[in-house]
Amino acid sequence: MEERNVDRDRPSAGDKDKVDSNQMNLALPNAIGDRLRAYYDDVAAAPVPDRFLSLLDQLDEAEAKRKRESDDEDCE
Amino acid sequence: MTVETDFRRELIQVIPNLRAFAASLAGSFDRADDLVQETLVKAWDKQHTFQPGTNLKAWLFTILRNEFYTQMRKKGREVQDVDGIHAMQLAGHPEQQGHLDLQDFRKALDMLPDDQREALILIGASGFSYEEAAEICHCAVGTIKSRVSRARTRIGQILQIDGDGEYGPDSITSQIIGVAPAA
Repeated sequence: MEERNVDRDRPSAGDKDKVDSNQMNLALPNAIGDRLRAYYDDVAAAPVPDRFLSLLDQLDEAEAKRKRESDDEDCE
Repeated sequence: MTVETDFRRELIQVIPNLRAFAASLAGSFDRADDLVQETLVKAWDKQHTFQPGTNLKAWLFTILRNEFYTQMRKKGREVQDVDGIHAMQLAGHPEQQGHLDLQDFRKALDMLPDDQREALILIGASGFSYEEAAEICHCAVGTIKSRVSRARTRIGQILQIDGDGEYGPDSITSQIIGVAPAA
């Protein structure tokens, strides 16, 4: 309340900024939040590229192979 | 064996989120996907250090973020390049309504300092709590809160500067118009 009065009586630059940013904080969360999620989902909604699935296959295979080899060593 | 299969399945579930976070950090799809790839390899190697029942998504985000900043330190600022950002915009869906809106938002987001942008993304889009985001970013909860708050204010200021009808009928413009006729 006090800021608003100050702003009306004596609209110096500093006071105006203060009121602006207070108003902004009230106004922005939804407006920004919606766009933020739209931006993010634009990427996140894309299907998982094959390169990652085949990468995981390779990692899986490499590990299975390592395991087999170490099992063989244990047997010998 | 079953545990590993679960790990793999959960890993795949987090990939879309990892890509989106990586894209917001790196500014281009190519770099984002390279980052995700590094993250998957590292996560796979370290999977035995992951405690089942804890938050795999947060764990993966932490690895990805560490990887990104390690690369940044090695390569310097060229990690974030303007061409890449354009490439990312092209990769969007032009037919989608509000695409221009989204492009402007991307530009605004890109003008934020890295720490503010990542805090905003983690809280506002990735769905992490302030506590989780603080852990991912290795900082205090209060630091995340203030970064998010500054990011919001800054984005508001940027969109105000560039603001035209596209940001139209919602509260931002009317607030701004209502409050700042002074000059």
